[in-house]
Amino acid sequence: MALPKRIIKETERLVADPAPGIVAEPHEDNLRYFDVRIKGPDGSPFQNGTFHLELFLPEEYPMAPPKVRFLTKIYHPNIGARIDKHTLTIRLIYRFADKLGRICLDILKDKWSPALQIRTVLLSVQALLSAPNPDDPLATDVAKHYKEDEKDAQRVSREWTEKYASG
Amino acid sequence: MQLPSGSQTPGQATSSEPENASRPSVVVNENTDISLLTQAQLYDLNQNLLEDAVPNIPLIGPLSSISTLRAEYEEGSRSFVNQVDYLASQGYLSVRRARGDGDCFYRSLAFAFIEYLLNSPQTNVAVALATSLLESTIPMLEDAGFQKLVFEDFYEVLLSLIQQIVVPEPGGTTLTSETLLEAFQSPEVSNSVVVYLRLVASAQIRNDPEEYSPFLFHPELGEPMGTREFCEHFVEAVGKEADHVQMTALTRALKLNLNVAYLDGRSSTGKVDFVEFRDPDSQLENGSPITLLYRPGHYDILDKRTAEAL
Repeated sequence: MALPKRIIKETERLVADPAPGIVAEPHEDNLRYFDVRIKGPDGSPFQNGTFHLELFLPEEYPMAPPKVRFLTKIYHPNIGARIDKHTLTIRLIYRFADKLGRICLDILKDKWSPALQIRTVLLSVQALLSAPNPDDPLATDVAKHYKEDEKDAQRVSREWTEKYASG
Repeated sequence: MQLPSGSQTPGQATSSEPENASRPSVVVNENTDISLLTQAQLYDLNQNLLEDAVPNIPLIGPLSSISTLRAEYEEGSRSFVNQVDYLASQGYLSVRRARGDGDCFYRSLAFAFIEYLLNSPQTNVAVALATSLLESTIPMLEDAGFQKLVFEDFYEVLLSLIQQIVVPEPGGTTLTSETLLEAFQSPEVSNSVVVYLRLVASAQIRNDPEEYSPFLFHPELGEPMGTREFCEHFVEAVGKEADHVQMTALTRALKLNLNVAYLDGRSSTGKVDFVEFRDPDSQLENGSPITLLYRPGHYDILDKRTAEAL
């Protein structure tokens, strides 16, 4: 099935006129699959980091939201962990198995509307980096840390940014 | 779901808690007095009836006799049966069911609208008027802040359906009742039309905030909402059912006359109240306006014709 006009146009605009701090490029062999790089917003613990994400447009798009997840490890209450094979135990793998890099963002779930676009989704993800919401957590340990000791949690976010998001 | 409020029934727990704070599941049998159920319970009852009876009905169904509607209530509720009989007495011989997916108002209205054009005595005129009306929704959406690339695919689906009434498909025929139904049963076509109408309703509200903002309330919490938030969450979002304000906005934008029959089991006489949406500029009106059937949480289409007559 030919790609809907809307996806073609959105892609053209994303490439020609990217939002500041956001790069999204479709794969050559699968135009529904995008490599995304988001710069950590200035003033946030994620600043100076470059975070890799993958975005996929399911067949029902834009009736259904894009599927987006983080590929870069990040310490954020609304973003699930990536599995690090060398350090996690079986227990942790079981807990995190279905949360690989997933993002807890309402517009990616029940608040999605076909009036939104790839661009708006990525901007919302970027905004989430500036404003973590520990009251609606995906990574419960991180959320607890942010609620109990925000300064220390932010310190860890900064450390992880330096360690994992400097590429 | 805000409905015209009925009186509080004595014996019901009077509380200031929101109605959905506790929702005991309702067991309905021949002894149930429907008038004692709360709105929330009535909503749930209807939703369950619809889901159990026909778990995965088509997005829009064929015309079926109003007796099938009557049959749904014959085991339980005299007041509903009386209301169905009242509708039949007013000439509504058939019901066309929509799937209860939160899009049923938009889908039913769209189907009834296109069918109305299809059955016009002068289809050329009707299609020309509808086309020009549709074309005028483009600047309206842009004024409201929607980018063309967001909506033009949906727009084209709706436009080409309407055009097909008078212009045959390449290598095919013009639109018929059967092909219209097929189109509305195909998710791609049907949902595109629904989305477009949601955006039209939203644009109508966004472009005239003073007119609509006194009526924008969170459907469950009852709190007033800002225009943008209301439109994003309850008009544009897929699967969010339409209430009075969305219906007003859409019928005004499309210059449509619409009747909605409220079947809520609450009339002692069986009489059904019709809520009327009228547009003084409507040029498409000739004969009966489009009539939808409303039962708490769900919309279907009412028709004065029979399936055989189609």
